[in-house]
Amino acid sequence: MNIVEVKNIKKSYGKKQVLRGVDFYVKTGECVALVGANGCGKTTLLGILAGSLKADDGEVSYHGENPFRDRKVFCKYAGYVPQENPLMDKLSVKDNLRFWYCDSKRSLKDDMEHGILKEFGLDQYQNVSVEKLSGGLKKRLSIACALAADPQILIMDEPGAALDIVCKEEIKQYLLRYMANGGTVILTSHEEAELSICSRMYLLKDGKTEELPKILFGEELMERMKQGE
Amino acid sequence: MNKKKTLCFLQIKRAFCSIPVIFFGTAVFTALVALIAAGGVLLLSSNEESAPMKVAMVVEDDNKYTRMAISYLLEDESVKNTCSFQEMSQKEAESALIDGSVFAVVVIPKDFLAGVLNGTNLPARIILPKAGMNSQSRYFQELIESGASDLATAQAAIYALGDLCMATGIDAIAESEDYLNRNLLLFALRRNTYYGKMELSDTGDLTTVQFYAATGIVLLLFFSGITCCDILKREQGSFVNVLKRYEISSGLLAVSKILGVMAVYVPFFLIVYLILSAFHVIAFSVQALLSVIVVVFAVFSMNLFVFWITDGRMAGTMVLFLGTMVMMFVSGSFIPEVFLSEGMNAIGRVMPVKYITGLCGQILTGEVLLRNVVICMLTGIVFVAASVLCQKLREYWGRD
Repeated sequence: MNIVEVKNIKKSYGKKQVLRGVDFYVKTGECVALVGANGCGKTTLLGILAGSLKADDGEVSYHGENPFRDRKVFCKYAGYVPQENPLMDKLSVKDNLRFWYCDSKRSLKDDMEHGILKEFGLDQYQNVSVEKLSGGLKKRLSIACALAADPQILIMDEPGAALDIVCKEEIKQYLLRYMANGGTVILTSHEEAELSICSRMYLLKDGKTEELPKILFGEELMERMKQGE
Repeated sequence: MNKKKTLCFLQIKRAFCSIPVIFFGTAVFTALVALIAAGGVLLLSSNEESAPMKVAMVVEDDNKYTRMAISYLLEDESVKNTCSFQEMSQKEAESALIDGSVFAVVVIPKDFLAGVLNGTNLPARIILPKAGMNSQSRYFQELIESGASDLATAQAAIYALGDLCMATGIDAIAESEDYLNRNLLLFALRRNTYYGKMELSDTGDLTTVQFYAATGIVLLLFFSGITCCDILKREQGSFVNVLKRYEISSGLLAVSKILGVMAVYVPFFLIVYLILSAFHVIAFSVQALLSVIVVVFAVFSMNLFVFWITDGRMAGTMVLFLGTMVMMFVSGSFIPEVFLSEGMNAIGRVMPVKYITGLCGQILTGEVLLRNVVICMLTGIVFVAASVLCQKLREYWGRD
């Protein structure tokens, strides 16, 4: 069953048209990668899927529900991890989490004691100011914030960017566990480690998506991205 | 608590977490502001300005009777309070006028006394500097001219009475001339009887200390924006975008940031206000107390706008520092507007800083004008709206 369906999404910034009619779908429990050159509109597309940007035209549906009509649908189904960590510096890890947990059915205390926050090792840093955390911890905290509402879909924009290989591996392992528990992942990445867990791949080029026949990495992917230029 | 309330609560907490930095920065800026204010107070309360005008006197008609007339004039209280005469030679007087140590030179010409006696009235010559003519020189010229005019009128009256006595054969010329002499000159020289007394000040309704205290407080608030930069600065696009998912707009984010900073500054200034009014340093009024909140809101909304439009700590700090200095100078907060050019005053009148400083001064005197409160409130709202607009434009052009 398709948990996400995207039809003819268009988006412009001023006179510059970034998305010219994007179509794709995602099935429950799978991991789908969106790849493309820098500036091709991947972040914009994820922003629209997450509900932080408005599309000029087109349709998105989550489990058959239209989030453009009821914006609460975005938060009900999707957790969003942008490329830059959406954290409030000068505040502690716990305060940041408090903001994302305040409307959630999940308990911050329980997650800190034996849930995702303990799994990410954030319980040891709960009173540490965010600006003092390492890049890896900040990314784990960002993912934890996105998961606070217990979403079925995790939308991630280049989760491994600027992280060391240990952090990348930890994130990959977590995503595998998340999918094993029935979660769905949509991500953008250029990293082989992250792309290797994907079941399908879409290439975003000239404002449109094209489904690739198999998962491509490295030079093969680069060649595919250059085709037709 | 829902997300909107939690965001406001966390912004306030964020501001309180920054209190050590804020207090350190405030201490540094207070020292800087105190230095500027002390300089201003010294400049405006300089004794030189209030001392009698120095005037050189050159006496060409040097004889016993001229000396008597001069000493009679110089002994008069109103003349003594206004001018300080120094007798000099013509050469000394000219060089004193050139180097600016005297405002004017009065030359008592040869045959001056004879002229008074025979009615030709040879006038005293007044020499004023060609360049650097100021209000004091003009005042002196006016004083001398009106004095000469009064003397001439008195003289004409005395001669007319003498002629009348002679024509009618009344033998009272000496008594009547003495009478007129005494009364007309007395009347002429006591010019204060003509006018009501009104205090004029270059700092308006404020004393010099109040004027610079108001300037100092506003300057301190603006510079506090630099220490609160981490709270006021625009959040990175990722955070703003994630907030939008929960229908938390840039407007609410801006308001929550200002609320956070105000939660630190408003209690501080309210406590200072209450302490000062308890010790009768400033007059207490409820309107003034509430105006403290309006002043803090107006200043921090302008600070917010600077950091949102410049989008960086360094650029924001520089723009805030330079912008504040220029705006405050042009609006007459450093040097009172009476000393500024017409053009500068015209620009100053459209500067919100002028009204913020004005309201601050009114808080110190306890007499708050509703007009200033409304202008400052609107200033705050306009700058918050401008900050949000700036964020919207960035989003429209895809800069976030």
